[in-house]
Amino acid sequence: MSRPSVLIVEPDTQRRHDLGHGMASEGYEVVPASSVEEGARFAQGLGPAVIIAPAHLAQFGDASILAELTRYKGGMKRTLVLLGDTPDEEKDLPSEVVFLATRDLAPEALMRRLRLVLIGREIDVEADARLETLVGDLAHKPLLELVRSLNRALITGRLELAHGRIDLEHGEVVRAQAHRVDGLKAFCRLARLTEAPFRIQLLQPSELQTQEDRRRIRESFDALLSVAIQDSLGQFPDPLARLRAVDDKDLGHLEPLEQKILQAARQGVAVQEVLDSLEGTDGEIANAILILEERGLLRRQEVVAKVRIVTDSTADLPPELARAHGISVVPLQVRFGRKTYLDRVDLQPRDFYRILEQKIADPETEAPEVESLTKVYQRLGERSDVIALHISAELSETCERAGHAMHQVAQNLIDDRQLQVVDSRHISMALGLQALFASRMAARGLDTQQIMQRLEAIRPRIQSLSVLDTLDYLVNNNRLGKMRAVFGGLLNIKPILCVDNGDISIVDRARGLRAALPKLLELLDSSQDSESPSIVAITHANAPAWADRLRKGVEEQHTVEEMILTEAGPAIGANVGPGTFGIAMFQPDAEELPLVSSLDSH
Amino acid sequence: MASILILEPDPMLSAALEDRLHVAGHQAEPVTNPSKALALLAESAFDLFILSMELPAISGIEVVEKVRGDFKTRALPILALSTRNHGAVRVAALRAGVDEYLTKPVHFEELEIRTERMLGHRDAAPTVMRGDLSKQPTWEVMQYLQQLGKGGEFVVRGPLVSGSVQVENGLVVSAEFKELRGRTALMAILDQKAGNFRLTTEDGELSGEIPEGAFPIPEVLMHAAWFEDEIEKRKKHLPVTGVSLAAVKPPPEIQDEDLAEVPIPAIYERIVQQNGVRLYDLMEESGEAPQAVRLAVAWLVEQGCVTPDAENRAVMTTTEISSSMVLDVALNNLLAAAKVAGFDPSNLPYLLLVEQEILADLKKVLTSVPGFQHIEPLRKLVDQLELRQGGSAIFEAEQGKLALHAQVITSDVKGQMESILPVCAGALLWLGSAGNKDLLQGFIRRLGFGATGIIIADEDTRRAEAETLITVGGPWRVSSHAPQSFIGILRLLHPASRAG
Repeated sequence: MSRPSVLIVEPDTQRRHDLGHGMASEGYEVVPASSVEEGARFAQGLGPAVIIAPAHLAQFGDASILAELTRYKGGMKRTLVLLGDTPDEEKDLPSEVVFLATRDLAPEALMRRLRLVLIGREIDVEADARLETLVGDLAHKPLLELVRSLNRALITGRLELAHGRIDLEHGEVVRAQAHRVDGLKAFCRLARLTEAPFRIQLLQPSELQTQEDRRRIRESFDALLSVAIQDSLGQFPDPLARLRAVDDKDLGHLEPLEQKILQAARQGVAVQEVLDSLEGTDGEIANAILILEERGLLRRQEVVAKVRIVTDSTADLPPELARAHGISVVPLQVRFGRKTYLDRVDLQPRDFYRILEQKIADPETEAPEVESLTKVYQRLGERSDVIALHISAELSETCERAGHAMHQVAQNLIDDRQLQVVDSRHISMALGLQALFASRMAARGLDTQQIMQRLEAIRPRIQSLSVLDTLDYLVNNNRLGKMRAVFGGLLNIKPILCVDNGDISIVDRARGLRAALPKLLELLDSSQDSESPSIVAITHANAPAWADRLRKGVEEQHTVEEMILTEAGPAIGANVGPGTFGIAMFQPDAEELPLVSSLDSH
Repeated sequence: MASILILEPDPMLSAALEDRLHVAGHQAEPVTNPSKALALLAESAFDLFILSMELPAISGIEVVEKVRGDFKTRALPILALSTRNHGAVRVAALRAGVDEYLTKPVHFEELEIRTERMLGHRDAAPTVMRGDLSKQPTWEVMQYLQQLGKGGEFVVRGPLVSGSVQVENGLVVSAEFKELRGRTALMAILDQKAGNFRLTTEDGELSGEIPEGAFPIPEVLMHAAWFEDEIEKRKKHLPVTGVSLAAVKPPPEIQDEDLAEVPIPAIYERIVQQNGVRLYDLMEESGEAPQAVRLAVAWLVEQGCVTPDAENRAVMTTTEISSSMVLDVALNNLLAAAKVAGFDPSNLPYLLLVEQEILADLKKVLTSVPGFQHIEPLRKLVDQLELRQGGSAIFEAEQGKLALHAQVITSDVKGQMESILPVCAGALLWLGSAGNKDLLQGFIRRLGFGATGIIIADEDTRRAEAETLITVGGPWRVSSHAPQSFIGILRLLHPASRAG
């Protein structure tokens, strides 16, 4: 990883000098060019990683230089940043060009944004639409690797995740917070996340100061890395399980941490509460719990839920969220040629998009085998009622197979259980939200019938819209038979799709992603009440920057009660293709809100 | 004339072979029974062994393996006769240790030519033997060299040190072991219980005068044996090597003539000067043969002149101390190499991923480190592996800190491990039989360039798969040998191991 070189094409001498000086003072190698011809020559000959040019400059301004640059033999990805006056200039630009409207921007603010683009290049993370933050997903860049990049680039700023945040000063981690815990423990906890969208904000050290500096992390990055890796290893006890102390035993010598765990266990607390309340990293506490168990001083009791929720991997539920809600996810099968993978089990989004780029074969998806479904239903059905919510029956055979599987399980079970297969009539997070709501209702004590009734009412009111970068994948997978002729052959037309009564249809179209996004927001605006609280899930297929644009747009226009950002898994990705981004939105009524909102908030 | 043993159950063929070899000028001893043949080989020296591969009760291969397994006959030329001419059978025989393979019916002229060639070759070529000192004691090798009556070089490589002995015509012309030379060096070499040896024997008359200082092997062997006996008598007084020693009273005058040669006064003097010195330090630094130091200390303890300091009992044995030094060398070596490869050695992470069925092997490797009980990081790692199937050991060395993280592979930990791999300086992937290709692919892709990646696949099928997997690129190589020791693991992780 090295600092990228920057070509500044700017005929105005003062501006060229200011930009060049600003970049060079940050340690970047700057090549100034005063004319279009000179710029084109340098771009070809010197191979800069980033090119900054005014948007009105012919050749650079219409981004035609891009075609020229891709012919450069190094094959390196280049970033072209066009500085325009107003946001209107942006709409006809290709989606890979970074555009910045500079009219109301102070010189320092401009420099800060350009610096963000350069740092993004340096650590291989994309900038958002306004060049205010860097956005990505841990599935593509795991946290430890990401923080190491930030450490090497000597970044001062904040890494924000849905689960917490990490502050860095000159590359060193100084603070971390995850839910209720902070410090080293929080850092280790965040390092265990395998998938989660993140945002990086560049800040000044003074902007990072907080009152609460007691829990500052003082370990060097390398020491921190070592502790975090140690903490990731080994098995963790189920966080929902309850601990019980066995008191008739001779206690013998106990470490202070072990004593505290036993004390908590006498109150009958859950593992998660112990992890949250005691000092020491999660790994240390898990270790102590297992030692106490081995010594016969402690017992773990699994909590048996009355109703268990099952969905499939097309729900695109973030794994952490599914785990925390006790939702079981059955993987669909994804095939590349003769090779079959289990969605999100042995094929993660990161690897999927890489294989896709290699163009070995077109991906195909298939419903889970009946046996895989049976296994999950059987395991859960032995102790609880089961509601299995699956992808729309119009789009997959999963529901049909689930029906067979559930029938078999019902015959095998000794106890009388309510076992329900539900056609969600949706796909991706519109299905994921239903599973999430169902599990939240179950946690709030609703029984199977009540949950089913509520879901019936919720289902038609979930709005799901997405923008596809290409129609090829839908057509390849026969998900869009009728529409093929209509769109085949049209250039740079981005369709906006919705799922309507279980099937996919095209609601609108736009020329280019930049034009499609406002249209999608418009569609949302016309159908949803901007004042009502909304639960929103934004999904993207390897397009974190576009998902972030959508997030900002929705947050500006609507009252967002909960925002979930997630990456589409291989099963969905195989059908929509990379570059897709979409939204699933639900506005609960006053009665529904306390039932379906986050378990933390109510 | 050579002496040849023939093992052929067919009396007709046996007699014909004997006649033919007799005519060729050799003395042949025909037997029909394998156990008789083995007994004769143990008793007398033969120049060639001809055997039939088809024998009653025992296979020819087993006989050959027995002959090769015995130190006395491991170099004996063997000619096999067999009714079977199948390639695989021939290879099996050659692999077991057969030098020549002839098919029946025997073509006598060919047999004669081959016999002569085998006898001739044996005399001309130098023989190189390699072995393990824990299985083949040094004195046995030296005795063999003496019996051969030839010249040669005997090189010993222990865990920390190496030594060598040059022999000409049965006389030791030079011996070196650390700073020791001559008889003392040979004594020290005879004391080595662990390590490898290489023995190269060659013919050739001693040229010119007997070099000054040359001495016969048996003299030192006898001397060493005397020390062993005397130490054995005082075994209960011999402290472990890591215990500190304290002087109590000066030793009485030594009456025994033999004991007078033992450096008792000098050793006592060292203990007085350096109170708390360990037997290990004395053996390392006194310039005496280790047996002599041990005997001196055992005698001093027996006489009540020296006492092992019970208050300050360090509990490491010689092997443990030298092993911990080897460990230190290996750790520093690895850290220094990783530094050259561009990693910061102040806290260097390495990841060890093993499949479930390999966990027992890994634990065996870790627990068999000499002094395991005293090596806190290793003990902690084994405990964690048992408890949670994953754990870490942090070693502090002069060059920095090495963190060895180990995890049993399951599909549950795939994501977690893929997140860790990019920040590791190296990874070792130890496959069992159930290797999951998709899992491996994920791991292989995640390790950064500049790091060291090793896949251990000691099964043919898994190896072929691992070889295909690493063709996707990255800093990986496949090793077909499972590490037998912890040092072996560190060596595999060393960047230099990538070169092959």
